[in-house]
Amino acid sequence: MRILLVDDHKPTRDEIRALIDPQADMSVVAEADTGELAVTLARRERPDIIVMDILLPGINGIDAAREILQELPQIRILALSNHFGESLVQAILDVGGAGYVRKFRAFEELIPALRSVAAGQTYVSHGSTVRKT
Amino acid sequence: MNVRLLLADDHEMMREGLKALIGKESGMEIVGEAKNGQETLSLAKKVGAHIVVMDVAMPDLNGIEATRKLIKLNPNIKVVALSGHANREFVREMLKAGASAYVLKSRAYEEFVRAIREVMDGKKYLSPEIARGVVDEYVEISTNVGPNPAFVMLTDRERESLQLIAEGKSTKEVADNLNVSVKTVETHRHNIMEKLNLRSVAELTKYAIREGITSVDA
Repeated sequence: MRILLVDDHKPTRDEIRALIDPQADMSVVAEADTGELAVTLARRERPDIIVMDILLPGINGIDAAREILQELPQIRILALSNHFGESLVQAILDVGGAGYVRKFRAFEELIPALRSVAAGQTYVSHGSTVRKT
Repeated sequence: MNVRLLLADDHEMMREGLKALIGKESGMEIVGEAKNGQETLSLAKKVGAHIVVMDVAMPDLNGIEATRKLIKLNPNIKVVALSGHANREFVREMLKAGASAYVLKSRAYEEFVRAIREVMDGKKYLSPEIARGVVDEYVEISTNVGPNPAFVMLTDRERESLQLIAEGKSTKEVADNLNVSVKTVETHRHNIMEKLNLRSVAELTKYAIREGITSVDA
Protein backbone atom coordinates (compact mmCIF):
# COMPACT_ATOMS: atom_id res chain seq x y z
CA MET A 1 0.00 0.00 0.00
CA ARG A 2 1.71 3.18 -1.21
CA ILE A 3 0.53 6.23 0.66
CA LEU A 4 0.76 9.97 -0.02
CA LEU A 5 0.49 12.04 3.15
CA VAL A 6 -1.02 15.53 2.91
CA ASP A 7 -1.04 17.85 5.92
CA ASP A 8 0.31 21.38 6.30
CA HIS A 9 1.57 20.65 9.80
CA LYS A 10 4.88 18.81 10.01
CA PRO A 11 4.43 17.45 13.57
CA THR A 12 1.10 15.98 12.52
CA ARG A 13 2.66 14.35 9.46
CA ASP A 14 5.34 12.88 11.69
CA GLU A 15 2.72 11.37 13.97
CA ILE A 16 0.77 9.92 11.08
CA ARG A 17 4.01 8.45 9.70
CA ALA A 18 4.73 6.93 13.11
CA LEU A 19 1.42 5.08 12.86
CA ILE A 20 1.97 3.90 9.29
CA ASP A 21 5.68 3.05 9.34
CA PRO A 22 5.39 -0.03 11.58
CA GLN A 23 2.83 -1.59 9.20
CA ALA A 24 4.68 -4.05 6.98
CA ASP A 25 2.27 -3.67 4.07
CA MET A 26 2.15 0.15 4.06
CA SER A 27 4.64 2.83 3.20
CA VAL A 28 4.53 6.60 2.91
CA VAL A 29 5.95 7.38 -0.53
CA ALA A 30 5.66 11.18 -0.35
CA GLU A 31 4.45 14.06 1.81
CA ALA A 32 2.77 17.30 0.78
CA ASP A 33 1.97 20.40 2.80
CA THR A 34 -0.35 22.11 0.31
CA GLY A 35 -3.25 21.07 -1.94
CA GLU A 36 -1.30 22.03 -5.06
CA LEU A 37 1.66 19.89 -4.08
CA ALA A 38 -0.73 17.03 -3.31
CA VAL A 39 -2.04 17.16 -6.90
CA THR A 40 1.48 17.25 -8.35
CA LEU A 41 2.71 14.38 -6.18
CA ALA A 42 -0.38 12.28 -6.85
CA ARG A 43 0.34 12.51 -10.60
CA ARG A 44 4.01 11.71 -10.16
CA GLU A 45 3.87 8.99 -7.47
CA ARG A 46 0.52 7.36 -8.33
CA PRO A 47 -0.08 6.29 -4.72
CA ASP A 48 -2.76 3.73 -3.81
CA ILE A 49 -4.10 5.91 -1.03
CA ILE A 50 -3.91 9.58 -0.11
CA VAL A 51 -4.36 10.63 3.51
CA MET A 52 -5.67 14.15 3.06
CA ASP A 53 -6.03 16.97 5.56
CA ILE A 54 -8.97 19.23 4.69
CA LEU A 55 -7.92 22.68 5.87
CA LEU A 56 -4.86 23.39 3.77
CA PRO A 57 -3.28 26.60 2.59
CA GLY A 58 -4.05 27.30 -1.06
CA ILE A 59 -6.60 24.91 -2.50
CA ASN A 60 -8.29 22.91 0.26
CA GLY A 61 -8.32 19.13 0.62
CA ILE A 62 -11.69 18.70 -1.04
CA ASP A 63 -10.76 20.65 -4.16
CA ALA A 64 -7.45 18.82 -4.33
CA ALA A 65 -9.28 15.49 -4.01
CA ARG A 66 -11.69 16.44 -6.79
CA GLU A 67 -8.86 17.37 -9.11
CA ILE A 68 -6.90 14.22 -8.39
CA LEU A 69 -9.88 11.88 -8.73
CA GLN A 70 -10.95 13.36 -12.08
CA GLU A 71 -7.63 12.31 -13.48
CA LEU A 72 -6.80 9.28 -11.33
CA PRO A 73 -10.11 7.80 -10.15
CA GLN A 74 -8.49 4.59 -8.90
CA ILE A 75 -6.75 6.42 -6.04
CA ARG A 76 -8.49 6.04 -2.67
CA ILE A 77 -8.62 9.29 -0.72
CA LEU A 78 -9.09 9.18 3.05
CA ALA A 79 -9.73 12.58 4.61
CA LEU A 80 -8.18 13.27 8.00
CA SER A 81 -9.34 16.33 9.90
CA ASN A 82 -10.88 17.59 13.11
CA HIS A 83 -13.42 19.64 11.28
CA PHE A 84 -16.13 17.38 9.94
CA GLY A 85 -19.46 19.06 9.74
CA GLU A 86 -22.16 17.19 7.90
CA SER A 87 -21.65 19.32 4.81
CA LEU A 88 -17.93 18.67 4.78
CA VAL A 89 -18.44 14.92 5.09
CA GLN A 90 -20.92 15.05 2.23
CA ALA A 91 -18.50 17.09 0.16
CA ILE A 92 -15.72 14.52 0.59
CA LEU A 93 -17.95 11.64 -0.39
CA ASP A 94 -19.46 13.68 -3.25
CA VAL A 95 -16.09 14.27 -4.91
CA GLY A 96 -15.42 10.53 -4.70
CA GLY A 97 -13.44 10.35 -1.47
CA ALA A 98 -13.26 6.95 0.21
CA GLY A 99 -13.99 8.16 3.73
CA TYR A 100 -12.72 10.17 6.61
CA VAL A 101 -11.19 9.87 10.06
CA ARG A 102 -11.31 12.42 12.84
CA LYS A 103 -7.77 13.42 13.55
CA PHE A 104 -7.77 12.66 17.21
CA ARG A 105 -9.20 9.25 16.63
CA ALA A 106 -6.34 8.61 14.25
CA PHE A 107 -4.40 6.65 16.88
CA GLU A 108 -7.11 4.00 16.97
CA GLU A 109 -8.72 4.35 13.59
CA LEU A 110 -6.23 5.34 10.92
CA ILE A 111 -4.74 1.92 10.24
CA PRO A 112 -8.09 0.03 10.17
CA ALA A 113 -9.51 2.86 8.03
CA LEU A 114 -6.63 2.57 5.54
CA ARG A 115 -7.21 -1.17 5.30
CA SER A 116 -10.93 -0.83 4.71
CA VAL A 117 -10.63 1.88 2.05
CA ALA A 118 -7.89 -0.18 0.38
CA ALA A 119 -10.40 -3.03 0.28
CA GLY A 120 -12.82 -0.76 -1.57
CA GLN A 121 -15.05 0.15 1.39
CA THR A 122 -16.11 3.57 2.60
CA TYR A 123 -14.84 4.46 6.06
CA VAL A 124 -16.61 6.88 8.37
CA SER A 125 -14.97 7.82 11.65
CA HIS A 126 -16.57 6.42 14.77
CA GLY A 127 -18.91 8.81 16.54
CA SER A 128 -19.95 10.57 13.35
CA THR A 129 -23.33 10.83 11.78
CA VAL A 130 -23.71 10.69 8.04
CA ARG A 131 -26.97 10.92 6.22
CA LYS A 132 -27.33 8.01 3.87
CA THR A 133 -28.18 9.18 0.42
CA MET B 1 -14.79 34.21 33.84
CA ASN B 2 -13.86 31.38 31.53
CA VAL B 3 -12.42 28.21 32.98
CA ARG B 4 -8.78 28.11 31.98
CA LEU B 5 -7.59 24.81 30.56
CA LEU B 6 -4.06 23.56 30.05
CA LEU B 7 -3.65 20.68 27.61
CA ALA B 8 -0.84 18.28 28.41
CA ASP B 9 -0.30 15.59 25.79
CA ASP B 10 2.79 14.69 23.82
CA HIS B 11 0.72 14.03 20.70
CA GLU B 12 0.10 16.97 18.40
CA MET B 13 -2.95 15.31 16.84
CA MET B 14 -4.54 14.72 20.22
CA ARG B 15 -4.08 18.34 21.27
CA GLU B 16 -5.39 19.52 17.92
CA GLY B 17 -8.47 17.33 18.33
CA LEU B 18 -9.16 18.55 21.85
CA LYS B 19 -8.74 22.14 20.74
CA ALA B 20 -11.29 21.58 17.99
CA LEU B 21 -13.76 20.22 20.57
CA ILE B 22 -13.20 23.00 23.11
CA GLY B 23 -13.29 25.67 20.43
CA LYS B 24 -17.05 25.24 20.11
CA GLU B 25 -17.74 25.43 23.85
CA SER B 26 -18.64 28.45 25.92
CA GLY B 27 -17.28 29.09 29.40
CA MET B 28 -13.89 27.48 28.81
CA GLU B 29 -10.72 28.34 27.00
CA ILE B 30 -7.35 26.75 26.36
CA VAL B 31 -4.60 28.87 27.85
CA GLY B 32 -1.62 26.62 27.23
CA GLU B 33 -0.26 23.40 25.80
CA ALA B 34 2.46 21.16 27.15
CA LYS B 35 4.21 18.13 25.70
CA ASN B 36 5.60 16.55 28.85
CA GLY B 37 5.18 16.49 32.60
CA GLN B 38 7.88 19.02 33.44
CA GLU B 39 6.52 21.54 30.99
CA THR B 40 3.03 20.97 32.43
CA LEU B 41 4.17 21.85 35.94
CA SER B 42 5.85 25.08 34.95
CA LEU B 43 3.11 26.15 32.52
CA ALA B 44 0.23 25.41 34.90
CA LYS B 45 1.59 27.98 37.29
CA LYS B 46 2.53 30.49 34.62
CA VAL B 47 -0.81 30.51 32.81
CA GLY B 48 -2.95 30.15 35.94
CA ALA B 49 -4.74 27.02 34.77
CA HIS B 50 -7.89 25.88 36.60
CA ILE B 51 -8.04 22.49 34.94
CA VAL B 52 -5.16 20.49 33.51
CA VAL B 53 -6.00 17.88 30.91
CA MET B 54 -3.30 15.33 31.54
CA ASP B 55 -2.16 12.51 29.31
CA VAL B 56 -1.19 9.63 31.58
CA ALA B 57 1.73 8.42 29.47
CA MET B 58 4.02 11.36 28.74
CA PRO B 59 7.77 11.53 28.35
CA ASP B 60 10.06 13.19 30.86
CA LEU B 61 7.69 13.21 33.81
CA ASN B 62 4.64 10.98 33.39
CA GLY B 63 1.09 12.17 33.97
CA ILE B 64 0.75 10.39 37.29
CA GLU B 65 3.83 12.00 38.83
CA ALA B 66 2.96 15.34 37.27
CA THR B 67 -0.53 15.16 38.79
CA ARG B 68 0.83 14.33 42.22
CA LYS B 69 3.22 17.28 42.12
CA LEU B 70 0.70 19.64 40.58
CA ILE B 71 -1.95 19.03 43.24
CA LYS B 72 0.62 19.21 46.01
CA LEU B 73 1.67 22.65 44.75
CA ASN B 74 -1.89 23.82 44.19
CA PRO B 75 -4.65 21.77 45.87
CA ASN B 76 -7.31 23.81 44.03
CA ILE B 77 -6.21 22.76 40.58
CA LYS B 78 -8.26 20.01 38.92
CA VAL B 79 -6.86 17.27 36.73
CA VAL B 80 -8.72 15.46 33.97
CA ALA B 81 -6.73 12.36 33.04
CA LEU B 82 -6.70 11.23 29.44
CA SER B 83 -5.46 7.80 28.59
CA GLY B 84 -5.25 5.33 25.79
CA HIS B 85 -5.51 2.50 28.31
CA ALA B 86 -8.02 1.26 30.82
CA ASN B 87 -5.06 -0.22 32.72
CA ARG B 88 -6.12 -0.58 36.36
CA GLU B 89 -2.76 0.45 37.72
CA PHE B 90 -2.84 3.72 35.78
CA VAL B 91 -6.40 4.44 36.87
CA ARG B 92 -5.70 3.69 40.52
CA GLU B 93 -2.50 5.75 40.63
CA MET B 94 -4.08 8.65 38.77
CA LEU B 95 -7.06 8.76 41.13
CA LYS B 96 -4.79 8.43 44.16
CA ALA B 97 -2.72 11.31 42.81
CA GLY B 98 -5.90 13.39 42.90
CA ALA B 99 -7.31 13.36 39.37
CA SER B 100 -11.00 14.31 39.20
CA ALA B 101 -11.75 12.52 35.96
CA TYR B 102 -10.39 9.71 33.84
CA VAL B 103 -11.37 9.69 30.18
CA LEU B 104 -10.34 7.11 27.60
CA LYS B 105 -8.89 8.67 24.48
CA SER B 106 -11.07 6.48 22.32
CA ARG B 107 -14.07 8.10 24.05
CA ALA B 108 -12.73 11.66 24.07
CA TYR B 109 -14.84 12.81 21.15
CA GLU B 110 -18.05 11.84 22.96
CA GLU B 111 -17.05 12.44 26.57
CA PHE B 112 -14.34 15.06 26.85
CA VAL B 113 -16.49 18.18 27.08
CA ARG B 114 -18.88 16.48 29.49
CA ALA B 115 -15.98 15.45 31.72
CA ILE B 116 -14.69 19.02 31.79
CA ARG B 117 -18.16 20.33 32.68
CA GLU B 118 -18.58 17.80 35.50
CA VAL B 119 -15.20 18.70 36.93
CA MET B 120 -16.04 22.41 36.64
CA ASP B 121 -19.08 21.61 38.84
CA GLY B 122 -16.84 19.95 41.41
CA LYS B 123 -17.92 16.46 40.39
CA LYS B 124 -15.99 13.45 39.17
CA TYR B 125 -16.14 11.78 35.81
CA LEU B 126 -15.04 8.33 34.69
CA SER B 127 -15.49 6.82 31.25
CA PRO B 128 -17.91 3.88 31.60
CA GLU B 129 -15.18 1.31 30.92
CA ILE B 130 -13.03 2.92 33.61
CA ALA B 131 -15.95 3.04 36.06
CA ARG B 132 -16.47 -0.70 35.61
CA GLY B 133 -12.87 -1.42 36.59
CA VAL B 134 -13.02 0.99 39.52
CA VAL B 135 -16.22 -0.59 40.86
CA ASP B 136 -14.80 -4.12 40.45
CA GLU B 137 -11.72 -3.09 42.34
CA TYR B 138 -13.73 -1.35 45.04
CA VAL B 139 -15.80 -4.48 45.59
CA GLU B 140 -12.66 -6.62 45.69
CA ILE B 141 -11.03 -4.38 48.28
CA SER B 142 -14.19 -4.19 50.36
CA THR B 143 -14.42 -7.97 50.32
CA ASN B 144 -10.85 -8.35 51.49
CA VAL B 145 -11.35 -5.87 54.33
CA GLY B 146 -14.03 -8.24 55.57
CA PRO B 147 -17.68 -7.71 56.23
CA ASN B 148 -19.08 -5.03 58.45
CA PRO B 149 -18.93 -6.35 62.05
CA ALA B 150 -22.54 -5.41 62.58
CA PHE B 151 -23.48 -7.87 59.89
CA VAL B 152 -21.48 -10.66 61.47
CA MET B 153 -22.07 -10.24 65.16
CA LEU B 154 -25.68 -9.15 65.16
CA THR B 155 -28.64 -11.36 64.46
CA ASP B 156 -31.12 -10.31 61.77
CA ARG B 157 -33.56 -9.15 64.45
CA GLU B 158 -30.89 -7.14 66.23
CA ARG B 159 -29.88 -5.44 62.98
CA GLU B 160 -33.47 -4.51 62.27
CA SER B 161 -33.84 -3.15 65.80
CA LEU B 162 -30.62 -1.19 65.44
CA GLN B 163 -31.83 0.50 62.28
CA LEU B 164 -35.20 1.44 63.80
CA ILE B 165 -33.63 2.73 67.03
CA ALA B 166 -31.09 4.75 65.05
CA GLU B 167 -33.93 6.24 63.04
CA GLY B 168 -35.27 7.69 66.27
CA LYS B 169 -38.16 5.30 66.92
CA SER B 170 -39.24 4.67 70.51
CA THR B 171 -38.94 1.22 72.06
CA LYS B 172 -42.71 0.83 71.70
CA GLU B 173 -42.60 1.80 68.02
CA VAL B 174 -39.77 -0.62 67.35
CA ALA B 175 -41.71 -3.37 69.13
CA ASP B 176 -44.83 -2.67 67.07
CA ASN B 177 -42.84 -2.50 63.90
CA LEU B 178 -41.18 -5.85 64.50
CA ASN B 179 -44.25 -7.44 66.01
CA VAL B 180 -42.51 -8.29 69.27
CA SER B 181 -42.86 -7.19 72.88
CA VAL B 182 -41.23 -4.09 74.36
CA LYS B 183 -39.25 -6.42 76.60
CA THR B 184 -37.79 -8.23 73.59
CA VAL B 185 -36.73 -4.93 72.00
CA GLU B 186 -35.05 -3.93 75.24
CA THR B 187 -33.17 -7.21 75.21
CA HIS B 188 -32.14 -6.65 71.59
CA ARG B 189 -30.88 -3.18 72.43
CA HIS B 190 -28.95 -4.46 75.42
CA ASN B 191 -27.35 -7.21 73.32
CA ILE B 192 -26.47 -4.84 70.47
CA MET B 193 -24.75 -2.40 72.83
CA GLU B 194 -22.93 -5.25 74.51
CA LYS B 195 -21.73 -6.79 71.24
CA LEU B 196 -20.65 -3.53 69.66
CA ASN B 197 -19.32 -2.07 72.89
CA LEU B 198 -21.56 1.01 72.76
CA ARG B 199 -22.76 2.84 75.83
CA SER B 200 -25.70 5.00 74.78
CA VAL B 201 -28.46 5.30 72.20
CA ALA B 202 -26.59 8.31 70.77
CA GLU B 203 -23.49 6.17 70.20
CA LEU B 204 -25.66 3.47 68.73
CA THR B 205 -27.15 5.96 66.25
CA LYS B 206 -23.73 7.26 65.31
CA TYR B 207 -22.54 3.71 64.74
CA ALA B 208 -25.54 2.86 62.56
CA ILE B 209 -24.98 5.91 60.37
CA ARG B 210 -21.25 5.31 60.08
CA GLU B 211 -21.74 1.70 59.08
CA GLY B 212 -24.46 2.56 56.59
CA ILE B 213 -27.17 0.66 58.46
CA THR B 214 -29.24 3.81 58.39
CA SER B 215 -28.76 7.07 56.52
CA VAL B 216 -28.61 10.46 58.14
CA ASP B 217 -31.80 11.69 56.55
CA ALA B 218 -33.83 8.57 57.39
